[in-house]
Amino acid sequence: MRLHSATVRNYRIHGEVSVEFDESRTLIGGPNECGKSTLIEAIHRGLFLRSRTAGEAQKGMVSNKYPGHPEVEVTFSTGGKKYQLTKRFSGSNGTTTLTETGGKTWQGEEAESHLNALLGVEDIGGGRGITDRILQQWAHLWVWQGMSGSDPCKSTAAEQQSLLQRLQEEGGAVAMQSACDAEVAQHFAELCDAFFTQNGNPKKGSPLQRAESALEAASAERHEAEERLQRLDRAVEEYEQAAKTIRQCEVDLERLSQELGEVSKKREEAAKLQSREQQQAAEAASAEEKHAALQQTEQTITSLRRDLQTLKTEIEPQLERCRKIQEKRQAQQQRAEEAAQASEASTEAARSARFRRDLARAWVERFDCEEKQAALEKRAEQARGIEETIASLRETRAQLPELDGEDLEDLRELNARADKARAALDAMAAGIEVVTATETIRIGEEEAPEGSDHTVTEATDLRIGNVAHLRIRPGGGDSLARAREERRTARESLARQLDELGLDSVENAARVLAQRNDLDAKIQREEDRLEDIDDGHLQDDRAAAQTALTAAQAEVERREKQVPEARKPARREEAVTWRAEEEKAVERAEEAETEKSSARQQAAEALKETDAALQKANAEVESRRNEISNKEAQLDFLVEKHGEDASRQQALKEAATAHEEAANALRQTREQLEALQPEALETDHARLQRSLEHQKQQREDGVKSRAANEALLRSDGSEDPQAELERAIAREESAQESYNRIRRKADAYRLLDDLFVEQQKALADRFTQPLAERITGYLRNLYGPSARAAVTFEDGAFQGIELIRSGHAGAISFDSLSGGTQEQVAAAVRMAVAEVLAADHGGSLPVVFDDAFANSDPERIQSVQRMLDYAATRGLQVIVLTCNPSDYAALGARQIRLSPGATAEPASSTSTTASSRPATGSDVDAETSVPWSEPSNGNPAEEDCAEYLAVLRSLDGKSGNQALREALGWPEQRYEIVKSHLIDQGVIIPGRGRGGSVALNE
Amino acid sequence: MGDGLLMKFLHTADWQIGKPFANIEDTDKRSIVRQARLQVLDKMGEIARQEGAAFVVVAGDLFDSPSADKATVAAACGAIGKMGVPVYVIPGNHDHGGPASVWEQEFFRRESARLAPNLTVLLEPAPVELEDAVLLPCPLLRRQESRDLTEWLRVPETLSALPPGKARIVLAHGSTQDFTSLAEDEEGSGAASNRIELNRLPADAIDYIALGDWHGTKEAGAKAWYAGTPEHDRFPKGGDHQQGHVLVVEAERGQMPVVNRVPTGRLTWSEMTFDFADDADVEHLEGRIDELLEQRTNEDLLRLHLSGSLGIEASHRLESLLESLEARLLRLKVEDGTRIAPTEAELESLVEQKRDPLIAGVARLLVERTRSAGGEEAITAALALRELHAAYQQEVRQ
Repeated sequence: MRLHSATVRNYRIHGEVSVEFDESRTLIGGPNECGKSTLIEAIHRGLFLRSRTAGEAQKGMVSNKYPGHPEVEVTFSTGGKKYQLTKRFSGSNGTTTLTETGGKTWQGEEAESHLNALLGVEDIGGGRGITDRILQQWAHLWVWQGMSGSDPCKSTAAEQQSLLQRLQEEGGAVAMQSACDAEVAQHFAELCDAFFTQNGNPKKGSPLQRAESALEAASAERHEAEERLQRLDRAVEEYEQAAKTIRQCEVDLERLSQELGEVSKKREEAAKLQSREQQQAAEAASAEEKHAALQQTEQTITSLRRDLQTLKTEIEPQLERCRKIQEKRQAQQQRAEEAAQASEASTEAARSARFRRDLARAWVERFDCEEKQAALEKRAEQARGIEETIASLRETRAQLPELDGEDLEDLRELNARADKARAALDAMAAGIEVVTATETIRIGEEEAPEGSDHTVTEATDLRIGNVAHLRIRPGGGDSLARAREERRTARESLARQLDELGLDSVENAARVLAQRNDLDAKIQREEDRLEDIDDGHLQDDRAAAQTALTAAQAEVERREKQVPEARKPARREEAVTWRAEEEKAVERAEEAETEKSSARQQAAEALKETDAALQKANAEVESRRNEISNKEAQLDFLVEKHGEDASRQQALKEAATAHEEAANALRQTREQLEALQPEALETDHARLQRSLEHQKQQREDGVKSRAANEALLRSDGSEDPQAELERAIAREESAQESYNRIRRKADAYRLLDDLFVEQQKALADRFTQPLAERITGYLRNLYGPSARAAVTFEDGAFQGIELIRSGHAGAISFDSLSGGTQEQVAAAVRMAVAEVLAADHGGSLPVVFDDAFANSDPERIQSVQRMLDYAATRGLQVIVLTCNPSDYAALGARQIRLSPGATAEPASSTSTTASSRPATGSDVDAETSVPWSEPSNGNPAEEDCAEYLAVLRSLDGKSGNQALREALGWPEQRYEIVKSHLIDQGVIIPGRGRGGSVALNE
Repeated sequence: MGDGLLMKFLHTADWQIGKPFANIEDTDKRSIVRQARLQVLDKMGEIARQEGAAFVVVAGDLFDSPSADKATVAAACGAIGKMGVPVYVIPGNHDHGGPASVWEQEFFRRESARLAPNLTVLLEPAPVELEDAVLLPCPLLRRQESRDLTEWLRVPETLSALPPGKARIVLAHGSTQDFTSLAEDEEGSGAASNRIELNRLPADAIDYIALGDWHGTKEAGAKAWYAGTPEHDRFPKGGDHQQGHVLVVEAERGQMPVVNRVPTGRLTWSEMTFDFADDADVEHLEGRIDELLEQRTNEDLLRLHLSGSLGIEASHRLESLLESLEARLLRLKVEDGTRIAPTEAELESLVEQKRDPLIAGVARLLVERTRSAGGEEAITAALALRELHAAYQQEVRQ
């Protein structure tokens, strides 16, 4: 079956559009929402939807822009014949016309059913849900937009039967399972399912599981019965063991009691001996003690007597020593007293010597003070003289004018200046010398006698009597006047300076200055002398000297009181001599004092030593005396107590004999006791008693155990455990047998089910092989020669498509593939299936891909084109719808460009047209209210282009078409016209992605 | 005639009253078999009276279990009481004495005193002097006794002290030196340890040895007999295995005893072996069984050993034959070694047919398996083949 052409009218956005399909490859391009999908849907409905379909499906097709009922015309050929199909979808009165070229025409229902037969589909009727159901028609050939990645097995479901049929035919002699086969296989599958779970375990509630449970229960019962019997057997054993123990214990108890009796008797005997031994031991000890006491007394008396003897001998020399020490002490005491007296006398002498010396020292001090005072007074006298001299010199100097060297220098300089000024004037002035005069000559106002000499420094009138009046003008002009002025000021300055100083001349000034300088030098000399005498403290020193003198005088007077008949030296020399004498006297007296004090101390020490020795000797004597009296008292006491020597001897002898007798008796008793081995008797006794206790306990335990087991074994006869066991064994055997039987049967069912499944699969594999090979053929166009497809046939349907590629890990199931690969593999499967099914449709079928490779990358699109071309070479009619026709440039397809509202233009040399009737009111997009009219020449307004580019720039120069169009707020048509124009101009370039994208060409 | 009193008594053993016969699943049938063991006591009482027997000796295993329940005890005592002659019993390995034994239980003492005053249980190895005989019991006090319980009779003084004119009758239970009951029971619980060394007994000083344990009547030596069980209780073993008898013994001091066996058994326990050579043999087997059973129902117990091979159809026929036999017999025990081997025709109908290729394929695989595999796998495959055949036939018939 091939589609030749189609015309769609009044169908949603299409007013009228016609397309002519290429026999093998058709590419329908156009922007989004230009109605590609609508066109292909219209063709699909034309083929499969009954024209009289009413309700939602019909309403959905009606255009709200174009009046009139939706119409679809399709021309196609199949089975070597060409047909024209026209359907008008006007609800219940819709029409269908099918015309065979050069042949018959069918109308209405007849046409519909003939059409279904030609297309090889079942009538699916109309009514509720038809819009969904219709999608199932040729779903394997029609890849709706957005459905390209879905599992193609699902869309081929409707074709499974014909696909099987075809594949079976292709497989040659491959037998198909019969209905009977299926029934029987199903029968065993159900049986198996009744017995087993999915993982092969017995199913709960199944006969097998019940038998298994019954067997387990029977085994448990048997086990329990066995255990019960074993418990009884154990009870019997324990009962017998207890009885035996009791018997044995009775025997042992008898024997032990006897032994214990014997041991007890011996113990009593031993006890008696022990008691006697104790008594005798006490007696012996007492006798021994008495004897020992007497012996002790004897020894004490002897010892005391010996000690007294010794002590009395020893005390005599000690007494003698005491006497000697006493004598020595008296002598020493005498010496000590004498030394004390001497020492005191020397101390007194030294004291008076020191008094005299101190007086002498005071005298010397007094004289020293006196001398110092006198010297100071003399210096004061000298100072007064110098001061008078200085005063008179100052008086002289005060009478001279106040002048110093500087002043003199100034004067000299002023004088020199005056001289210099006069000399200068003189040099310029005219000299008039009156050599002889007959007349009174007047120079100026002044008469100039003969012989006088005048100097005229200015224009001066010279009158000679009345004879002549001459005016003399000296040379030099103004300089003369300046010189005259200079001389005048110099003279004035000098005169003023001299007046100030009270001098008359410079010479005099020099003389006065010399006098002043001489006086100053003299005053300085006198002042220096005064300074030597009085450094400024002289007055204080004089007062201090006076005070010191008074104090020294007072000291002398105080000291004199200490020294009777004291001397009064007249001069210092005398006092110094005296002081030296007294210093020596003091030295001597102090030496004597030290000597005497030392002697006194030595004497006292010696006396002390002797006192200690005496005390010690006396104490020794006293101690010895005490000892003697103590011992004498002891001795007296003992003798008084124990009698005289003879009687004591007698008593001692008697005590010795008594002691010996007691010891003998004790030894005998002990020997007897030892023979009885009392320790062994004790341990024997304890041991036997222990054994008895033990045996009694054992017997008691035995009795208890016997009673307990007896109780266990006592039966009320209600049941027979032995018989119960036999019954339990029988039940278990029966359950086992029953289980074995059911198990075997269940195993047989499972085996049958397994084998049926296995056989079905083997059969299925023989069907799937040709399909898989075909799919592989397509896949190799995409993924190279190593790619391979696998398909499984299960539950009567093809499923589980897997892609196997070299370099990839094993087979990848369809669901695990990426989106892009899914749509490619799905396409391969669809085309393979179409190829198989094409045999029923005259060797060809159309395969429609509406935007079916949106997820594939550009490189892969190249391979996709190769695959699509491969399909075409295999006889299929490939129809591709895309918004990016340039992607499929390499397909070599007839291209049809569909643009909204415009007449489709030929897009390539092999293109055909998709013509569209100009719409009344145009294809204004309902989304926008902006009035816009389509440009008549197909080129958009410049303003539109500018706006387009501005908005695109604002979106970073790149945008999806949808987003950009929304940003512009344009209808689709306006947008597309501008976009296409700009693409043609090369200003922007188209991109890919769902709905496409554009970018500035920069 | 000897120098003593000639006297007559019944020797029996192995009554095993209360035996559960748990392998018989049908309760009514089981009850019949159990009941037969009590009913035979009536028969023996009758014989004793007819024969003028002075008493009955039971050489062990009166009860099937040492812990027989009260109902069993009551039923046994009732039946013994009705026998009307004194009954002397020693415990055997099944009902051995000892602390827990039925003989020691209070309810036994009570029931026996009330219902069977003629019953005397001999629990000690000591002579029991009767009016016209001396009983020398060797009771088993535990299930397995390693020493020979008759050894007390080897002591010369024991026997020399007995009254000289009375027949001396030993009662013992166990296997004799040259004759053991090993694996005697169906369950294989034979006691090899209870040995009786007959030849070590002073033959001259003893006049009859009444033995129990072996269920067939059997002369075990001079003066020594196994009475066997009076009522069959197991499938026969070998030809010389006569069950269902009681011995009537005439004994006298110093004389050889005269022993007569009298049949008492009522139920028939049979065994049959059959090998299938072809499918028609199913019908031959049916004929053989009819011959064996005559017109009886509920009186027979049969053990059937089957071997050979049958076709699928024939195996179904055999199955229904066995089903009907099961109803008719007290018990049918089948040891079925029959193999299912489809006939040529059957194979053809499955494997060779072309209509249903899947079934043919599966059948082919199953046939291969029955031939190549062994054991359980082959059996399962054969069974599967049979099921497939049946399912297919049904499908085709529809």
